[in-house]
Amino acid sequence: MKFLVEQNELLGGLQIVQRAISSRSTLPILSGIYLSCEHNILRLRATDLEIGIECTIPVQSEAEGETVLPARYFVEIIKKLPNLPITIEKTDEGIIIIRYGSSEVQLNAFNPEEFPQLPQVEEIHTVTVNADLFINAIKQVSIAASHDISRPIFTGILLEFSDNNILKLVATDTYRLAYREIILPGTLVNNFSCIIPSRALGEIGKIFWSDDNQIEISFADNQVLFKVDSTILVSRLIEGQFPNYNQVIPKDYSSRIRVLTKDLLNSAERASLLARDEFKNRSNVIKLNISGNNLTVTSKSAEVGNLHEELPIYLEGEPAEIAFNARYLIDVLKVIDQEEIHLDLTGSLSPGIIRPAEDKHVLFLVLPIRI
Amino acid sequence: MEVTEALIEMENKLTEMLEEVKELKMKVYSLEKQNQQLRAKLYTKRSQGEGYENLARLYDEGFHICPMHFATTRNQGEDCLFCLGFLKRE
Repeated sequence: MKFLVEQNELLGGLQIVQRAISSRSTLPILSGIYLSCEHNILRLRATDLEIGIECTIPVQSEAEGETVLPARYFVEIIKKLPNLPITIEKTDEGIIIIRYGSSEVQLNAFNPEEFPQLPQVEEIHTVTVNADLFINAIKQVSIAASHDISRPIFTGILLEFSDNNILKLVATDTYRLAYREIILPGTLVNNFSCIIPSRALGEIGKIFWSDDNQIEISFADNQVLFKVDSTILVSRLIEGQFPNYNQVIPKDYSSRIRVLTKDLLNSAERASLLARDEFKNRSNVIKLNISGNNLTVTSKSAEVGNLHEELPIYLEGEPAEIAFNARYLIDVLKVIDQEEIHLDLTGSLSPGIIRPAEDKHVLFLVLPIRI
Repeated sequence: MEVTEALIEMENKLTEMLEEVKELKMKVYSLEKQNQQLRAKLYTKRSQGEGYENLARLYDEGFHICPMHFATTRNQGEDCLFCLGFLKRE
């Protein structure tokens, strides 16, 4: 294997595929990046067996071949090289020589035959979505996904396609729920749904971020493939039945407040500073008291002090009192990009519904804390 | 030779331990199966008559009553959206 490549193009490709490498992997070969050179194309690939990323970059190849290099050293070396053409050559002993100017680095490589292939995705459904729209939806919904691997279904995001061209994204950790709808213009899809690990979707946001890109998504029985130009990400799907989320979304409310998103976010962030130790197991509790055209936010910490803030609101319905975990409230308010929100309540024990005041396609549920 | 003997002894001990792990694995598997069946039985029993009170009590005692995690313990002090949805529907 021997090829000539531009430093910035190689680095760009490496930084994309290395996102699939997990530091927790027990298989040494998975800490490497697979390189295969053929017909002036260099194929880069990395995987942690849950997700796999592959991309191609143009090179001038002199000899075909493949290798696997330890990502930790290879990426760092390429990153620190000047933006010049680099020659990469594999010796008969399998050692890789990286030549730049009159200097060179030699790296020991893994056996490429041991590197796993990306799974073949035999697609059943394919859809195309606008990258900006899809990535923004993932960002909003993923805040509610769980990190508890003992309950795998909740570590994923449900994608539900319906035949009226609406894609629904839902995530929940059973304490909160995030829901977002996207209309897919011109795409004809059948009714189907799947659960994709939120980590895989998070990586989509990082590697495919560009306003005018279209992401092609192909679904198979137990895999999903995302493709933009020459870059693909393959992820396994989470098996199991997502709970019926429609049943937990309250259909009506007894109090609705309209409040400036930024005001409530800033207030909740300040209140959370003083809400660390009210109860041993129930820290970060902030109370909201709604009465007239005022929202009173309070929090207290026996050791530090207490906070009392008043925000102007527009109230429709009855006065109410409720307590939330400040972190859950802050997470939601941070991903709402509209000026005002509606907070709908039905008593101090039912979940609060937060949605942007002018957007019917997004909804967040947050369970209150009993006070 | 001493090292070889020590290694042989170690190998034997590891084999014994592996056997024990296998045995434990099978026991855990059968207990998990049994537990699942008991949960299902309990669920069926609870859904017949007096269901709501029993479910509400079970929830208040700190257990999930949603079908996903039925009878598993809830995190202390944290409600569950799906249990509350289930109770409300009942």
